[in-house]
Amino acid sequence: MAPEIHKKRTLAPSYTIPSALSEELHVEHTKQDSVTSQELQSSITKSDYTDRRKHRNADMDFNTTKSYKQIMEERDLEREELRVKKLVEKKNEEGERPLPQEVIDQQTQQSPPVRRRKRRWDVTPEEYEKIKNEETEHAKKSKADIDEINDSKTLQQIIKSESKVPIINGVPLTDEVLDKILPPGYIKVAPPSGFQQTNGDEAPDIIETQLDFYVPPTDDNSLKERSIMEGQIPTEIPGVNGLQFFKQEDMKYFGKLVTTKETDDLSKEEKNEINTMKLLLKIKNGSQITRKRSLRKLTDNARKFGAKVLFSQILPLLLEPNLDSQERHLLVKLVGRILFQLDDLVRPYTHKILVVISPLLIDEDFTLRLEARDIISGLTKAAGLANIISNLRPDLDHVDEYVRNITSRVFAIVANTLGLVNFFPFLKAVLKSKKNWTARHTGIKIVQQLCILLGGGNGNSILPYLTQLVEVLKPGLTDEVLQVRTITALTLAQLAENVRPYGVESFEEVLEPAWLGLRKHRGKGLAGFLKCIGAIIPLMQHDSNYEEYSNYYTKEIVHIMTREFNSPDEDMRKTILKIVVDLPLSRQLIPKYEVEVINPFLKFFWNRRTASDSQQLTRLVVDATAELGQKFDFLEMLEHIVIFSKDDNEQLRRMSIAAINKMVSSNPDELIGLDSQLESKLVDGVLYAFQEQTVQQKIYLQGFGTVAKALNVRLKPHLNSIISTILYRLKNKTPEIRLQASDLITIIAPVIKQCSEGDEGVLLKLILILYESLGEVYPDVLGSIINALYACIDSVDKSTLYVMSNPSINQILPTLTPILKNRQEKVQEASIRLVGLIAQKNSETINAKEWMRICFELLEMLKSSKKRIRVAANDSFGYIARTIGPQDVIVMLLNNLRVQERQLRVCTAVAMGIVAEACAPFTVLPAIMNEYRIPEKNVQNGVLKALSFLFEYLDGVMAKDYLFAITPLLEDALTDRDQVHRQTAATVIKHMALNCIGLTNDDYYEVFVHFLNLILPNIYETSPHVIIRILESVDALRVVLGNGSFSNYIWAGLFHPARKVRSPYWRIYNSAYVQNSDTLVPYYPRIEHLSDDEATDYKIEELDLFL
Amino acid sequence: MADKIKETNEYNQLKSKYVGLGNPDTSRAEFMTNVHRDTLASLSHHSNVLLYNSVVLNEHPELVRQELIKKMVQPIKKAKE
Repeated sequence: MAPEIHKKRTLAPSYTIPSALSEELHVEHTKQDSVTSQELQSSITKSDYTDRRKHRNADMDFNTTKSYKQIMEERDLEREELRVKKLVEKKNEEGERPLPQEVIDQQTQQSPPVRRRKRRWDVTPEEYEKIKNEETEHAKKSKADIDEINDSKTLQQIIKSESKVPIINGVPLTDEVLDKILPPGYIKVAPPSGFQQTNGDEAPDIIETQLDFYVPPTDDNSLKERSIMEGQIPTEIPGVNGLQFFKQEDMKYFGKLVTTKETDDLSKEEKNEINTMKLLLKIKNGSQITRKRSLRKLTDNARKFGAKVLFSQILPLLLEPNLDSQERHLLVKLVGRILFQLDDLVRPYTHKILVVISPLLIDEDFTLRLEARDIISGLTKAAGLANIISNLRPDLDHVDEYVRNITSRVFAIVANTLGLVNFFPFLKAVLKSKKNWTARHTGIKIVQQLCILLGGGNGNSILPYLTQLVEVLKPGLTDEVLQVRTITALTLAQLAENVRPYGVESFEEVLEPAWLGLRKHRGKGLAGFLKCIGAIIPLMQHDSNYEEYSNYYTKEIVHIMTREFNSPDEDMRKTILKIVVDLPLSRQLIPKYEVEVINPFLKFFWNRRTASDSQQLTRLVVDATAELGQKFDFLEMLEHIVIFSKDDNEQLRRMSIAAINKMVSSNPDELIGLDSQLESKLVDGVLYAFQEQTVQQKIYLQGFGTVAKALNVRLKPHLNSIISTILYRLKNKTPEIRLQASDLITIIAPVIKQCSEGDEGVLLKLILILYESLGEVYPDVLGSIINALYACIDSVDKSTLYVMSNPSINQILPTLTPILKNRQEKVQEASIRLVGLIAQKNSETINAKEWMRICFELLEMLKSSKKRIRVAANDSFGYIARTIGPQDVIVMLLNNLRVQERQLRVCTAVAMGIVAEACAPFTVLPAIMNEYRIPEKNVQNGVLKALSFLFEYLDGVMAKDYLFAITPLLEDALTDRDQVHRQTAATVIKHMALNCIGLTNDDYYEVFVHFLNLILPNIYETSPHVIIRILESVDALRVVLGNGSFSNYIWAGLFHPARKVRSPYWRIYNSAYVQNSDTLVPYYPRIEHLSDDEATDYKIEELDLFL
Repeated sequence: MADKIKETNEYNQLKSKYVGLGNPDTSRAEFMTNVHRDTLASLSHHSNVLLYNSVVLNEHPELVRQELIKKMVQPIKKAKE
C-alpha cells in the first residue's frame, strides 16, 4: 500500500532513506536496549524490603470498618498461625515423624488457602463460626454422597447412560451430582442455538490441579474493569482537558469517567464522585496549569466532597505499584493539603491513610520521606492521640517485622508532634507489655526512632524525660529475648548521643546492667552493648563527679575493644571505629598504648582489605586514626601512616593521604616536632601518591595543600622536586592530569612565595609557563590554568609586578579579553576574577581604553545564569571604576538600563551601586538622578533599584548626607501611578532608614516623617510583592522615628468602621507590638471614659501619682 | 490562598506568644484590657518607676508591685455598678 502512494506523490527520485528501510529501523528502535535514567534509578534503588509495601495486604474497603476488637483478634490469629507454621517447619526438619493430632487440627483450622482467608474477616465472628460449621458439614455430606455414588456402582451406569458429561477427579458431573454440590437455586440452561459438542464420543477429562499462583479476584467490578481495559485506551476523556498522558493502569481507577455518560439521571453522590475523579485525574496526569488549578479546586472543596469520596479514590491510587515518582509526589502533596482542610473529618480513615502513607517513611527518596513525615504529623494533629493509638496499637506486635518497623517510625512522629508528655504513658505501657516480646521491641524502637528523628545533639526536648525514659528502658537490657536486649542497648546509645553532653546522672542506673550485658554477649549483641557503653562514657567526661567512672570504664572498654579488633563482623568493626573517636583516651590512662591499642589497630584496620571496603568504612578508619594520633602520639602515628602512602595498592595510598590530610589539617602545629627524616618521608609519600594516582581525586590535592601549608618554609628543600613534577604533569597528554597540576599550583603558590625569600624567580617562571598554556583547548583545564595564574600573580609582590617583563601585565590582559568570551562558566568566572585582580593590583600600567573594552565584555557576563559569575563581574566593575574613575563606567552602565531583560537591568543597578560605593556617591549620584528624568518606566525603575543597592551598601554616616538630595526624587517615585515605582522607592527608604538609626538627631527627623506620610497610603496595596516592601519600609521608619510619633499614625485606623481599612492598620500595630512593645506602652492613648460607655471607668490611677 | 493560610498561621503563632496582638475582629473592650494590662505591667516591671510610685504611696515597692499585678487580672471594672 504505502510504496504505491509514495510513488505517486514523488516526482523526483528520492535521495533519503528508502521507506522500507526506515520502517525497519523504526521497528528496531521501538525496542531499545538502553534504559531511561529514571528506570535505571528505580532499579538501582529498588530493594526487597521497601518493595514489601506493594505486597502488604491493605484493606481498602471504605464501606465497612473493623472494630478494634476484631483487628486485635485478627492479629492474634496471625501470630498463632506463625507459631504453628514455625512448629510445623521444625517438625518437618526433625524428620518425617507424624505430627501430633493437636497440631494437625490447628494447622487445618488456621491455615486455609490464602484467598479465602481474606474474605473471612469481613464477617462478624458469630457469622464466621456459623459459616465454618456449615462448610465442614457440607463438605462431609458431599463427600459421603460421592463415596456413596462410587460405592454403589451407579457410577458405571451413569457414565453409560449419559456419556457426554465432563469427569473431574474421577467424578462425572451429572445432573444428580451437580444438584448435590451446588446450592439450591441453579437451573439448567439450554445450549445456545448453533452449539455443537466437539468430539461427541468422549467427554473431556479434567483433573483439578492445585493452583499455587495468584488468581485475580473475579467479582463483577473487576470484570467490568477488565473488559474496559481490554478495549483501547482512550486519548481523550470526556469532560477532562489538559491531560499530558493516560496510562493503562489509570483505566482501572478512572474507567468510570469513560463509561458513564454526562446525563442528569446520576444521583448527587455519583456526580460528586465523578467530579472528584475528574479533578484527581487532572492533578495526576495534567499539565502544570491544569494540575495547579485542579489542586486548588479540590482542596478548597475538600469538605464539600467529603472525606470518604476523596480517600476512597486517592488511597487505592497511591497503592498502585506502577506509579512513577512524580505522580506519587503529587498525590502525596494532595493528601497533605486535604488533610489540612478536612481536619477532624479524617478520623474514620486514619488507619487506611496510615497504611498507605507510612511505608513512604522508609523510601529512598528523601523528599518523599519528609512529605510522608509531614502528612503523618498533620494527621496526628487532626485525629488526636487516642485515635492514632487505637489505630496503630494492633500493628505494634504484628507478625511482620516490616510492619513493626514502620509502626515504630509512625509512633516516633506522633510522639514528636504531640510532645513526649502526652505520649509517655502509652510508651510506658507498651514497654511493660508482658504478652509479647515484639510489642516491647517496637516500643523501644519508637524511642530510638524518636531520637533519630530529632537528630544527634538535639535532645533538649528529651532531656526533661531522660530519667524516666532510661528507667523504663532499663528492664529491656535484661530481657529474655536477644533482639529486645540489643535494641535496648542501641536505643540507649542513641539517647546518649542525642542528649550529649548532659544527662549522665540519668544513665547511671543502666551502667551496671549494660556492663554485665557487655560481658555476656557475643557477636551482634556485643556490638550493641559496646555502642551503648561507648556512647555513655563521653557524657561522664563532662561531669567532674564521674571522672573515676569514666576512667574505669574507658580502660575496661579498651580492653574489650582491642579484643574485637579482629572481628570479621562489619557491624562490630563500624561500632568500634565509631566509639574510638569519642572515648576519652590518654597516655596516662593506657600507658602501654603502643602495644595495646596502636599496633593491633594498625594491623587490623590498615590493610588493603579494609581500604578496598566501602567508602563509609574507610572514612571511619581515617577518623579513628586521626583521633588516636591526637590522643596518643601524633608523630608516631603519622610515621606509621606515611608508610602506606607508598604502598602498591592505590586504595591504601588514598586512605593514607586522607588520614594525613585529616591529621595535619586538624593540628598543623604538631608538625613542629617533625624531624627532617620524617619530613622528607612525608613530602615524598604525598608526592609519590600524587604522581601514582590513576583516578584523579580531590583528596590528593587537599592532602598536598594541607601538608604544604603546614610545612610552610620547611617545604623549601623539596620545592624543586615538587615543581618539576608539576611542570612535567602540565605537559601531560591527559587533560585531567594537566587540570590537577594547575590546581596544585593554585594551592601551593602562597607557599612557594613563602619559601622564595625575596627571590621570586620561581613564581615568575611559573607565570610565564602558565601564560604560555593559555592556548589550552579543554575549557575545564583552561579555567584551572587561569586560576593558577591568579594565585601566582596574587602571591607576587606588587613591585615585582611593575617590573615584570616576560610576560608583562600589559601582555596578559589583552590575552584575557578573548578568553572572556568563552562560554564555559569556570573559564568565565576565573578570567573575571583575574581581570579584577589586575585592576586591583596593577591598573596604572594599562590605558583606560583597554579597561573600557573589558567593561563592555563584563556587561555581557551579567547575562550569565550563574550567580557567582555575576557577582564577580560586578565586583570587577568596582575595581575598574576605582582605577579609571567612575564617569565612563557609569555612563556605560546607565545606557545598559534601557535593555529589555530584567536580569541585565538588575545587575546593572547592582553594578552602579558598587561603583558608587567604590568612588563615593557624590561622583555618580548626579548622573544617576539625571537619568531618572527620562520618562521611561524601565530606566526609572533601574535608577531606583540602583539607589536601593547604593543605600544598602553605604553606612549611615555617609548616607545621611544624601537624604535631602534624594528626597524630591523619592517623592516623585512614591506618588507615581506605577506600583513598581512605589515598591522600589519603599525599598530605598527602608535601607536609608535602617542605616540611619541613631544618627537622625533633630536634623533628619522631618525627612523621615515626610517619607512616612508618603508611604502610609500604600498600606492598602494588595499585591504581595508590593505590600511586603511597603510594610518593611514602614517598620524601618518606625524604628528610625521611634514609637512616639509613629504610634500617632496607628491609633486612627485601628477601629475604623471599614474592615479594609482596619486590617492593614492592625498589621502595622502588630509588628510594632511585637518588635518594640515596651516602648509602645508610654504612647498608648490615654482614655479616661468613653461617651457611649459611661458605666465603665477606664482610668488608670497609677499614672497620676506625683511627688 | 496559600498566602492567607500562611498569614493566619503566622498570626496565630505570634498571638500565642504576644497576647496583645489583634486583628480586625478585635473588640474595643479587648483592646482596652490589653492596654491596661500592658500599662500596669510596664509600671510594675520598670524598677525605677516602681520605686518612684512606692515613694509616692509610702509603701514597700514589692507590695506596690503585687498590687499592680493583682490589678492586672481584671484591669477594667464597672465602677458604677
